[in-house]
Amino acid sequence: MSTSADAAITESSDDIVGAEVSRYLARYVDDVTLLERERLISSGLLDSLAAVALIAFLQKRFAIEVLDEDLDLANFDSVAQVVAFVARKRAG
Amino acid sequence: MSATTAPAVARLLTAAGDLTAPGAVGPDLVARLAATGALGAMVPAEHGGAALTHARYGQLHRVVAARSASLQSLMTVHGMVCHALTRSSRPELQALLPELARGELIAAFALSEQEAGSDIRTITTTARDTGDGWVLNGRKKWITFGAHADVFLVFAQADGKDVAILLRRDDPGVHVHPGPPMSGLRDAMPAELELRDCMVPAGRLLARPGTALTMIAGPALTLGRLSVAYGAWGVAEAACDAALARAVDRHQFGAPLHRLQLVRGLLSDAVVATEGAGLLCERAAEALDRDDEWATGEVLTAKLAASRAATTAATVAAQLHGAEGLVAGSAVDRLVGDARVMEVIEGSTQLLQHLVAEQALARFRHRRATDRDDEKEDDR
Repeated sequence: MSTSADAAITESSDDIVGAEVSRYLARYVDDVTLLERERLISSGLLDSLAAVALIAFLQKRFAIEVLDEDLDLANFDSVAQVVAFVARKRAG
Repeated sequence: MSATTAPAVARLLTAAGDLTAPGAVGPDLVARLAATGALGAMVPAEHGGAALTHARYGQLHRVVAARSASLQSLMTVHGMVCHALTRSSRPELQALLPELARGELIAAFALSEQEAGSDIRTITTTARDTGDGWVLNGRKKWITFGAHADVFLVFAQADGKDVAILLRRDDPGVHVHPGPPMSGLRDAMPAELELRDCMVPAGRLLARPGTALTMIAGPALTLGRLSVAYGAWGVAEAACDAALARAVDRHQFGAPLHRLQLVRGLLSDAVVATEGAGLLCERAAEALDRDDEWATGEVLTAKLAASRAATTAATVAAQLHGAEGLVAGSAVDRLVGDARVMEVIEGSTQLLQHLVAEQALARFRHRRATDRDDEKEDDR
C-alpha cells in the first residue's frame, strides 16, 4: 500500500531529522538531555550565534530555504518543533 | 571607476597625502574611495556592487586601516548596513543598495546605547507600530561616522520584540548630535542619534519583529568583526613598520636601537603577533567564503587576535619612540589610540574571549562526539 509506505518513510525521515538536529545541537550543551527538556532558545540554552548557526545548518543539511516569515520562535524552540518545521518546508 | 582591489585603493590613499591632517578624512576622500567601488565591495553585482569575496574584501580593510583606521571604520559600518539590507529581502530597502554601493549614500550602524553596550538585548529605544509605519523614540550612542551618514540602521524594541529599521537623516524626528572627541579613530566623526517621535513608513522594517538582534545584527556583526580584524591587522602592520624604522634609524649607545637585545624582544613580539593575526584573518575570510560551519568562530578568533596584535605592535612602536611617542597626535600615538578602539568596537576583547571560548567548547564537543561515532563504527 503506497499510503502506508509513504507514511513510514515520512516517519523514519522525521526520526532521522530529529537525530541529526540533536546531534548537531549537542555541540552547544554539556548534557544532551537538556535538548529534550529545555526550550532551546527562549531558555537561553542556545545563544544568538548558535541560533543563526542552527538555521544555516538546517538550510544546508536539509536543503530548505528559511525565509523571513519562517523566523518564528515557535519553529525553533524545541527539537520537535524544528523537526516539524523541516517536514513542513520539505512538503513545500 | 578604477578596480576594486587593495592595490588600487592603496595607490589612491598614497596619492591623497597625509590622511591625519585635519579634515583629510572628509566627503572628498570618501567620494574618491567610493569611486574605487570599495563602499559597495561586497554588495551583489545585481545591486550595483563589486561582489568581492570576503578574502578580497578583507584586504581592502587592511590597506585602508594602515593609512587611516578612521576611514576604514567607515567601510566597516557602511559594509555592515549594506550586508543587512542585502539579506533583508525587502525590495524597497534593496533598492537603496546601488546608491550605497556607489557611496552616494553613507550608512551607519546604530545599535549601542548609554546602558546597552555588549549586552545588546537591553536596548531601550522604542518603535511603535502604527499600522502603516513606525514611531521611534530613544537615543543611540557611539555611532561611527554618524555625523556624516545619510542613513542609519537602528535597532529598537517594539512591544518586547526587537526590530531593525532603516532611518534617513532627513526623516522627521531624527536629530544627529556630534559625539565627544575620541582618543582613537579621531577622524571617524562619531555621533549620537536622538529620536523624538520619529515617523517612518512600514517598508523601512528589515525583518520580522523579534528577529532583528539575532538575524540582522548577528550576521552584520560577524562581517563587521571580520572587517575590524583586517583593519587591526593593517594597524598592526603600520605599527610594526614604525617600530622597525625607529629601530634602524634611531641610534643610542653608539648603535642603532635594534642592536639592543631588549629592543629585539619588543620587535619580535610585535612581528609575531601581527603575522599570526594576518594568517587568522585570511583563514577566517576563506572560511566565510566557503560557507564553513565554523566560520563564525574563525572570525571571532581573528578579531580577538588581530585587535590584540594591534595593541601589542602599537605599544611597541610608541615605546621605541620614547618621548616622541608620547606626543599627542603623533603617528605612533594615533596607532595606540586606534588599536585601543579595535579592542572595543564590534565586541570588546572580553566579550570576544567569551565567544571564542564558547566556539572552542562547541568544536571540542563535536570532535569528541565524532571520534566516539568513529569508534563505534570500527567496533562493528
